[in-house]
Amino acid sequence: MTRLHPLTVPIRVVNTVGSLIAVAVFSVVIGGAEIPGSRPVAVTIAGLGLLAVLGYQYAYYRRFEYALEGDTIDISSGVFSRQHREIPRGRVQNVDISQGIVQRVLGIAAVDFETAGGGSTEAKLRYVGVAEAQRIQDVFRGGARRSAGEQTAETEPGQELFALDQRALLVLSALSFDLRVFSAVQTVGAIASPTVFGLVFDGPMSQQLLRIGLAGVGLLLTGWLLGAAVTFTRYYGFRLSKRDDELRYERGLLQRYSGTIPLEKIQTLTVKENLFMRRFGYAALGIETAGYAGSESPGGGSEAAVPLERREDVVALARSLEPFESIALSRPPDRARRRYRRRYWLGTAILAAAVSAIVVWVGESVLWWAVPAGIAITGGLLAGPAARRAHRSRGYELQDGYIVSRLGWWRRRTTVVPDYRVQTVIDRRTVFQRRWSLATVEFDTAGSLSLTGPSAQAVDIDAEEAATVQATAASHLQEALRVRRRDRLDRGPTS
Amino acid sequence: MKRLEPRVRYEWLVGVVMTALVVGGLGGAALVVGLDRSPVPALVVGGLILLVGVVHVIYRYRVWRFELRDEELYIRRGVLTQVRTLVPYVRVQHVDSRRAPLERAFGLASVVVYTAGSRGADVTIPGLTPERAAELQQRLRTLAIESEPDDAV
Repeated sequence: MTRLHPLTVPIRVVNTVGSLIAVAVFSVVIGGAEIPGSRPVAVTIAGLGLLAVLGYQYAYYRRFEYALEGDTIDISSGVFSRQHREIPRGRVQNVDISQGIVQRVLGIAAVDFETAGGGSTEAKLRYVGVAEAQRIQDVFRGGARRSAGEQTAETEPGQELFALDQRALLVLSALSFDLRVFSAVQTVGAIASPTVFGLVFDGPMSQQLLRIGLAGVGLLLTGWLLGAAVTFTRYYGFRLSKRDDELRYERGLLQRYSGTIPLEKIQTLTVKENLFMRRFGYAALGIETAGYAGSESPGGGSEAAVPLERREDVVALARSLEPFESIALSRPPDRARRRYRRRYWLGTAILAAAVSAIVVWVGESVLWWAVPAGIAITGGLLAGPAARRAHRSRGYELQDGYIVSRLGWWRRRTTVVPDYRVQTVIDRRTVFQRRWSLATVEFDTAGSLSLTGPSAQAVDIDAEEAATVQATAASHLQEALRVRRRDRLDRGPTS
Repeated sequence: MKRLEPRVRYEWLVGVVMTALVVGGLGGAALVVGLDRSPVPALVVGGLILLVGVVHVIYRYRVWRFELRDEELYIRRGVLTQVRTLVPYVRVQHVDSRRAPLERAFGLASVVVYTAGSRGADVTIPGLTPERAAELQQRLRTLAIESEPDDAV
């Protein structure tokens, strides 16, 4: 059994105490000012608290042991209630290493092991030395197939699949916007609103409007700059490489992240393109495994994703991982397009009617009728092209061994699901779809990406076709499993 | 294709009646006591909920079907949105049988099938007699085990 790195103790103490210190200082200052003679008491309490945390973290360090050399990851931990966890090596989906700035200076790293299922990371090592982290990744090379004692010391860099160049990184950063600005404004605004309102709503109307406008522009600019900065530091030096049968990624400017994904654990591949990216022929690639819980990673999705690259290269990369054929999607029937058009018309009509009602109610001037009229005309004219776009951006294809589906006309996602990754196949028909005899077939896979995006689905296909697609997907799954079983028997009992 | 026990309708109906009572009764009381108004609007809404609920329960029962096929469990359900789910036995992680208080009152039980999927991760078959639920659970378990310990992920 191995211990964590000794520096774990001070780091963990700072981590736990960090927020407490602020509270303590605050209470000492305030408390000391209010009640005479209370300052020594407060200092004593704070000191005792610090000692307690120090003692606890030292005990945590002493009582935390792990072993990775066997067929399982063994972790014994716990100061008061002891826990012993064993994770079969073959069940590990990803191994991730992350280093914050402080950790980088101190030469330590955090290691996370992800398995399928469960809401959070199943095993965490906080913290181990950098060399040890490297060794752990080497131990896990080859994933399930490599048995104990067979570890090799070679650390060749592997074949590079993708590296984010400076230009792409800058473009990617420039296209990012951090929405957190708005929540920050909300928080700050709640506290500072009386003063701010006093400053803004003062003087003549034109000046007030100018100030509001400036504030809005400033806000957008801040959000954009912040988003750019976050993206830049997150994806700085992004590299994806392949060695033996696993993928390895590295990224980060201040905080370094790296991790491995055994190729055999890949669940789905998703080519993501938003409107801008499509316009300039770029795309992003998501590589999903069953391991990541949606909220685990800072990006809110899979870690090993190519953030931005020319579309052809993204598709080529995806095909080198899963050899699917070139994509030729079949679109929903034409009546789906008519359905969308009618839906947009209906939406326009409702909006125009609502605005008309307001105009009638306010009853100011006849000129105001231009607004609902404008809405009706624009909506009526745009409904056709919009419906065509929506129709064109949806489709699916059952290939030999893969299910390909596409969704979304603002953020287009093309998902490739290997046949043998299909979990359940769900055929859904809403009342409105039934009127047009359309259906949506969803191909559910293991994983937790439901938070970050829709799963693979063929939307609005012919209802009869949907039944066939569902049955076919299920039978393809069985066929794929039979093939895999046979392969496994041929290879002999490995794991 | 198998159907649910007919008395599951009464179990569902209890839920509908409860909702209608809460909306109609509490809403009406709040209108009378709190706002000093007539309770009629709340009662009307409660009545509507009851009416829609009863119709929904009838159709929900009529539509519900399930079938143990050779390689997968097939379920068809849903009134407004029809849902047909195929759960391959290989993908079944575990099977629960469950008896909530209301189900016990009607002598019913349900079976819940779990997969590793992200969305259709758990599939519930309600309205079974306890014996039927136990038998179904047993069968699903056997089928899941028989279909090879292939990595169910």
